Amino acid sequence: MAETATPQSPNAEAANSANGATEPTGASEPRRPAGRPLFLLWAALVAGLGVFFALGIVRIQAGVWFGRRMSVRQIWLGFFDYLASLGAHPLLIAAVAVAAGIATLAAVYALWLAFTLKDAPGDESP
Amino acid sequence: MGATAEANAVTTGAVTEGAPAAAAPAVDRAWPAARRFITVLLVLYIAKQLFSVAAFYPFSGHDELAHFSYVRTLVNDARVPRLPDLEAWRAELVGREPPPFDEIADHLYPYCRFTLDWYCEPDNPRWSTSPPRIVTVPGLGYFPSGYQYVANHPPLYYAAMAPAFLATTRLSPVGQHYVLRLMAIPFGLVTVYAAYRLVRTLFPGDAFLTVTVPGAIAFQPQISYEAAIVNNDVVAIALVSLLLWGIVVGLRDRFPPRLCLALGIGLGLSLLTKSTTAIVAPAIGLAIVLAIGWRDWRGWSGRGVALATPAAVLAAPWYLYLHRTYGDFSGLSRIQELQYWSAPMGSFVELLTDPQFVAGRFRETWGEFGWRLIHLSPTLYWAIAVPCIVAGIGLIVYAAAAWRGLPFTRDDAVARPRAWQWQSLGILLLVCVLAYLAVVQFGTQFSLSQARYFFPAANAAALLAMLGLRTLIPMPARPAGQGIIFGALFALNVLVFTAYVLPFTTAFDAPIPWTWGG
Repeated sequence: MAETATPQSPNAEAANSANGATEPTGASEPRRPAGRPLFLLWAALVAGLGVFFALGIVRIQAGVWFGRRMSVRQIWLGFFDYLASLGAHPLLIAAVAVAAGIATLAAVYALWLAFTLKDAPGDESP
Repeated sequence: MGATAEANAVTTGAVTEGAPAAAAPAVDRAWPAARRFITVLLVLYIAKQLFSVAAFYPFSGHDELAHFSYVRTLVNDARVPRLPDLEAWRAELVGREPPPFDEIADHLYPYCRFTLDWYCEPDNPRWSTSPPRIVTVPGLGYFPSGYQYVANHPPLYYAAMAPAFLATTRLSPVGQHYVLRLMAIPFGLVTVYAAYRLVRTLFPGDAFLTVTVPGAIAFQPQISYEAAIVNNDVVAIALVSLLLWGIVVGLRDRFPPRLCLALGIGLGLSLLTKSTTAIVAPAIGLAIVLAIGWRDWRGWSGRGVALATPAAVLAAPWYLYLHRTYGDFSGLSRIQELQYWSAPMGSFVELLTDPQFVAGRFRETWGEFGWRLIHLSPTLYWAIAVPCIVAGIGLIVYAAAAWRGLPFTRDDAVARPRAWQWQSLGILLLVCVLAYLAVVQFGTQFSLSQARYFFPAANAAALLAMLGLRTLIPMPARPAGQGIIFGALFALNVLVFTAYVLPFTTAFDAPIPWTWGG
């Protein structure tokens, strides 16, 4: 890719990366807490997710159980029981469960980052 | 607004290192917050895909059994499989004993419901030791049954999977297939990362697009599905995603020689993965002409040669083999002979204007999950369709507002694109159009035209859609908007797994009807 020069921010201590871009310092990327409304929105979505997993009931929309109403917990635990019934090693089932857990936790964090990501500092018109 | 207004490269008939567009943005400027976001998204994606590999019923992905068998033939017989020659096969029929052909192995017959063209009665004791290999079709005669119908697919994906297959021969076929499913994840990861790089190149500092475009790809149910099953589509999607990123870089930097070479290699590899990736070739060609200027024929033709040469060197041997073996460059004429049940879905114009065809492809874009056995509810399809329609409207508004330089664009860098950014958006739109026309074209020959032939254009479609949504969201509301879109996409995945995929898999072994492609 072409190397480009970046105008130095007046207070920035330039640290050139490989392509000549300048690493923004804390001074050029102010760390201010996300607005309260965004936090409340994020918290509401995360709480909703928790309630869904803990207490949610859905109508099954595919397969031979079509139309049945089942709790979300029952569906997820039933899936892990199904893996056990196939003869999957307990460690493997645990790994699958951990993967789901990591994905959920990472999604919660990524959602926070999604709400709070602001346009790059010093971003000028192209 | 033409590229020549900004170009200052001198060409001498050979490809020269062109200077980038004057006053180009610092597109690779470090942005720690964005890097943090994409890192977390990629970690999330890996974990999600690991779970997805287990969540889908074994071999239930589209053509998984056939792709698995191709790898098996490559490893066991050190050659690519071949489609049976119907005429020669019939001539060799002795009594009712079918001549040999490259088949899906007997021990995979319990999963026959997940193939095309294999007479399927897995519970019939008659077939327990010797599955059917010949069918009689009234009025049409004998046909082979259970043949490897993806034998005309290019070999790159299967060669890439061969080491993993070889290393896991002690596992059961189901175990091996799970390993091959795991091997699809890196290609999905590349696709998500390429989406991020595409946005960071085209609109370097925009938070909304940085969040929503890779987020859309990471959570798109069918793209994610491709990256959790045994298939070559995910490799094609990943390679074309990289090519799209490269095209935008090229439009910004006037296609320097190394980039042309890299694009040529990428194009060659994509053609060695799936022939449908050819749709990106005209887009690359047009992009080069736009970047260099059509008058500078030496400039763009030199770059074209630098790009086409490695692509041809890589891909030509395979397509020459196809022509020598099947008489055409795709093997589809042989497929048409063998798939007696397949018929054109309509003419090109009919399919292009048929709302049912469009609706069917939309359903496959978000649901269906291979073999069209998992249908999302109409309510959910509409909940997805409405934002897509709104995004389309927003894209039109964006184009009009940016073109006319309306007042509200004054403080918005994204809404005041430079020439190379206009060109990039045009090329991305072209790729989407070509990909959809390829879906339509396939339907004029076969009854199984599917949305996944469009999926290599996914990153382009995601960027254009999110650009449309961004346009309609007022600037102060965009932080909330980007979070809500990300959250909605994640919620869609949770709902799809909870109400559809997991119950389908868990209860699958109860008898369900098997149908031809839904």
